[in-house]
Amino acid sequence: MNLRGYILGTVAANLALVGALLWQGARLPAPGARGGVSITTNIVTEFAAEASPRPAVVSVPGSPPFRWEQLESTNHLLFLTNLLAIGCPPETARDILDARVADDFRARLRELTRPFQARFWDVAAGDREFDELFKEPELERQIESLKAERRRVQAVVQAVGGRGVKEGKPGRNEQVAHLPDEKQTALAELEARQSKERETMGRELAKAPPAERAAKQKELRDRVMAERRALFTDAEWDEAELRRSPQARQVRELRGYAATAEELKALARTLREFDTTQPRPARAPGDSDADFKSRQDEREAQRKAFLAARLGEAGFAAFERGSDPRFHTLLKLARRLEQPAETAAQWLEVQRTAQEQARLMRENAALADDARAVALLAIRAETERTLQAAVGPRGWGAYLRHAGDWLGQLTR
Amino acid sequence: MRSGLTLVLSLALTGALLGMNFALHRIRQAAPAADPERKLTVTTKRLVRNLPPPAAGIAAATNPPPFHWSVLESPDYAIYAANLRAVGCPERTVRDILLPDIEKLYTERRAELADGPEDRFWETADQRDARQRAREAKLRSLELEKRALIRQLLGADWNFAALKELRSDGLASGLMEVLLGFTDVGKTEHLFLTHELFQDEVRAQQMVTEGIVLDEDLPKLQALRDGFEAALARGLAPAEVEELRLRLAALEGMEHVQRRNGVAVTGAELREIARLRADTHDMLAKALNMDDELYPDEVRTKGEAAFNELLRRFLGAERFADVERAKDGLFRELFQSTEKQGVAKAALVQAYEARRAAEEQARQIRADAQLSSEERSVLLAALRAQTTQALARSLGPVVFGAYLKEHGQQFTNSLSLPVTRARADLQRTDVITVK
Repeated sequence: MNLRGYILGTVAANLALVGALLWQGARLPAPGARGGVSITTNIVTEFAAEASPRPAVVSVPGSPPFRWEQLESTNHLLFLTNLLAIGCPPETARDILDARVADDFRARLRELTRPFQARFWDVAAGDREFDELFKEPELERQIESLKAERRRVQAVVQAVGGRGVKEGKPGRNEQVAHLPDEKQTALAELEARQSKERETMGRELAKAPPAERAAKQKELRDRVMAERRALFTDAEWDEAELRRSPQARQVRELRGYAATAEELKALARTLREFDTTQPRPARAPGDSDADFKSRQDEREAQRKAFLAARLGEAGFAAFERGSDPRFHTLLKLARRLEQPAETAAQWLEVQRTAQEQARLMRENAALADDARAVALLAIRAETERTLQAAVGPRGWGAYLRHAGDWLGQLTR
Repeated sequence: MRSGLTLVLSLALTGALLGMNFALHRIRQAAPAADPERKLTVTTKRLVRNLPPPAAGIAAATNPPPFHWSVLESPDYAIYAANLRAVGCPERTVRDILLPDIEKLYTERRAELADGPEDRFWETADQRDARQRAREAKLRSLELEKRALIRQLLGADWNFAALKELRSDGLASGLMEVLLGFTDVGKTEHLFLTHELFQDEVRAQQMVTEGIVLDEDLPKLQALRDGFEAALARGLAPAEVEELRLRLAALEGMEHVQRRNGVAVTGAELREIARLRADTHDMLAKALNMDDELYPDEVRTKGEAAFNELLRRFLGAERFADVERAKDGLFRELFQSTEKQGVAKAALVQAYEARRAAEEQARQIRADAQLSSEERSVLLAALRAQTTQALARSLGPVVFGAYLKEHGQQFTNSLSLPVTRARADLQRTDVITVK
């Protein structure tokens, strides 16, 4: 080949290379290009065996040195890709992007709603609830479109970095805390499975005839109970039944009542024993109010006698006081004043006495209205004087604020 | 000779073009593809605080090592923050990197304070509360430690949970957008975070005092409330603080003052009414849920009375009566469902007053101890029937029927409920829904 042939050959090759150059240039992605990203993460958790000595503030490698702007992009996905490309942990990248996407969303939302904010008071005075201020079809459409865009980006971010900080774990079921750990786990699994079964059955039987539905539901209930019961020994089951009882709830709500766990359990059994042998009177057809009340009073007297016999007079008084909501507030006040629980018990006693005196005075038909009013005022004045001295100047204002409403009612 | 030179130049151009093509090819491979579905596999190390920078030997001496994130990370938050700032990371991004990390650390520490596996079922409320108080005190101490760390690193009291709530897509953030949307986004953050911070302080105070406020606590509560106001003023212009106060007033205790509830007010009037309310109630103390503790009953009652008097003067007797009626959920329901059917307001008011009178009669019947249960039931049923007829006459049978269809028979049925259910029912219907 002569020289001219070589020259023509290289010119042709150069033309081809220029073509290739243009083709490659055209295929380069635009900086703001938006497209779906499928990112596979391969996360390796690795901890250094020992801490490296504290580095000084970073000496930035690279020539020219790395600057944050090199990562930044208005395209969130490109920014995410850049972060990951320099080894930013996916969790951190997610945190950065989550915040950025949400802030971007809020800023754009604020711009959209600015005209409506200018009309805030007119709209609030009109026909809309406060949370419906933005209920304009066009605005709602724009907001929904913004939200959809946010969800799309968030989905990708979460695919890379997970869903973020979640606090807490499922709470323990106190009612079965007496079971060994493995039984508690087995019970939790059983309950989860049964819950799913109930859901499935609910869906399957949605259109079944009521009788069939009821029969199937009963069958499931029986099976659930049998499976549950099979996990317990007799003693464990007895304890679980006691814990589920209203008497256990009552015992657990006591305040200012000093007792060990065994004593509280024994108290719950005692209460259950009485309630089982002496059920609350039911109202029979034709019962008058007076008859019904008389039977209720009779049962209450029996209950007091029964408990006093079991707990002793002092124990019964502590139980009655500990169940009294008025005592709960007084106990807190006593604690704040660094007073013992007995002091709160004394304040309660003053209250009970005064309220009983006022009741008797109101029911005394022999008194004229004026005389009754004067007597009630006298009870109130004397009670306030006694209580003020007992509570002391430091706590008296708090007593009136938190526990003193009843004083005003004495004279009504 | 000239042909030789031409060939040399052409070959040189070929070499250059080959080089450029190769470089572009590498850039294309390095850059993310512009295809609709881009695929990227990232292998990274997670939470590697102490990982040294990539080994220097990997790169040639003349080719500095590529930048790696691990260069920035440090087990020491102060160094981590300084490193981020050194490469020009924006302050907001420094915050968004550090806050979740710190939150995670303290979440783990909080979890350590959770109850152990011991069986504590048989405890009294006192015993449980004492344990809870001890735990709360430890949590509070952790919270203060976290707050100090954040202040030291970021120079402000940022709160991750509050920011997360503000950034969420839920109802609460939507309401915040409506309530605080008159400011810019940055000020909204300041406002919300300041509120959360002070509310936390109030909660901590309530935890220590078990909700029992002694006289000696009042200066501390007052200082908290004033601190809140001062902190708001640091981030907002006076006109913005005023707008916030008015919007809080509009949200609290006067949601019923709307044309949809039969009260004819304009937007400007509503704003003025909100001002009257904000001048007679401490809206900032209410925003911190501490007005009950800070102000005695009689002070709050006087404030409410003063507001009502100012409102009566501002609106006049007739519109003030409209406001009073609109407080009742039953009236609002009746107004909203019948107004669109063209019922005259006078007829509506007449029907409502008849219903109220019947309710008072029902109360008296229920309270009458001389009556037996049967007698009471008979009287209540008769009252209900009589009231139903009166309402149908006032509203017209068609409108009244449509109302019953929409809202059920509760409007009249509740009149004949027995004593206990009627009490519960009254409590339910008298609640003014806060929107």
